Amino acid sequence: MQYVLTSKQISGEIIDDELIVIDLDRGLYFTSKGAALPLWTSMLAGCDVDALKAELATRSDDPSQFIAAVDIWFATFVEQGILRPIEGISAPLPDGFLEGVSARELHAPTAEVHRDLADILIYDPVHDFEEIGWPKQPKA
Amino acid sequence: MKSLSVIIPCFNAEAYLGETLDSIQAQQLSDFEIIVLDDGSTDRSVEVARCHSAGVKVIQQTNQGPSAARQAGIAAASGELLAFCDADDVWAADRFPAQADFLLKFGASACCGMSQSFLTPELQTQHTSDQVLQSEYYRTFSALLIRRKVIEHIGRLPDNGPDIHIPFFARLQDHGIEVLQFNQVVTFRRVHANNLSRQGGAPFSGYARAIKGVLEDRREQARAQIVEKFGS
Repeated sequence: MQYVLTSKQISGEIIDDELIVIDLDRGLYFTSKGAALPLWTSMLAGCDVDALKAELATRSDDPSQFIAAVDIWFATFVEQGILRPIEGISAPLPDGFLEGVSARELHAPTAEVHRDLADILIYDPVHDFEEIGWPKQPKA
Repeated sequence: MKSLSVIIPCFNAEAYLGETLDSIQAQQLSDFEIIVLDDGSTDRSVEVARCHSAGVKVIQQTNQGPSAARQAGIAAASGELLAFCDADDVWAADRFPAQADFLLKFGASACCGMSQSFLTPELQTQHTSDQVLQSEYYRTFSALLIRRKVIEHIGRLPDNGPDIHIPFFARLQDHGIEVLQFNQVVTFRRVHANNLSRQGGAPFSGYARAIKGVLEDRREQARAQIVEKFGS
């Protein structure tokens, strides 16, 4: 099983220790920590989610509970219209993708849904500041 | 004390700043000031601002980004009401006093009008105008009118990169300050080749970082409240 984003207006980014997924169409954002970080990164790389879960569960004190939590995590994103399951040829898990990550950092993820910034996130996407000037001159 | 201060953070905007200033000075206003906060421009922006008219106050600083420029503009402002304008925006001809009347009528702390995008003339041959010509209500600095005492109450503007509007409006929200919606186009926002590229779902990486900043601010406040209540 693999998952893909349902829209180009959805983006997810890991900032420090937290995954932040933003749906600009609806002004929602989701936050997750722990195993969500390697799950999200590997998922976007086209890795098989079942293989991911199995690999991550080996680091857990309670593998079955961990796998159940990950299933709920993905289900939340599917129910919220963020991810869509697809079938296809999966990419292999990257070598050493959990290297240096402690078991403590890989706790089972939960997805918190936030609607408090909706008025702010549904924002004009065509105007921004540029590092080299505001506005940046069009290229000749 | 002026009734309105218009703060224009500016960085290398010589091509558009004159038109921006024209649109502000065309407003039916008698008691206002315009502050151009030049953020280390390397072009003729300062000269354009100084030569435009006697009523334009120009402040220069080394390049520190739009947030710092706005902050410096706020510090220099004497108006009871503050409005912000990007150095390439064009104000709607009837923005003021209509937006100020609206704010005062409802006794509001702040209100945001609508924005309409327009293609900068250099792009007219490359893109069709229907890509961008739409009026929308956005929470942006450019469409905002806010009482200065409110800005002073919430403290220094967050310094959080290009998507500064997110932590700023979140902070207003966290302080219980309602931003009323003013259903009139107040500003025309220039669309450049470069920011067109942000349409169609390009990753808005600044948004995630800005949200992270909001979350961390809130968590820090929550921790501080716990310490205050129960001790460290």
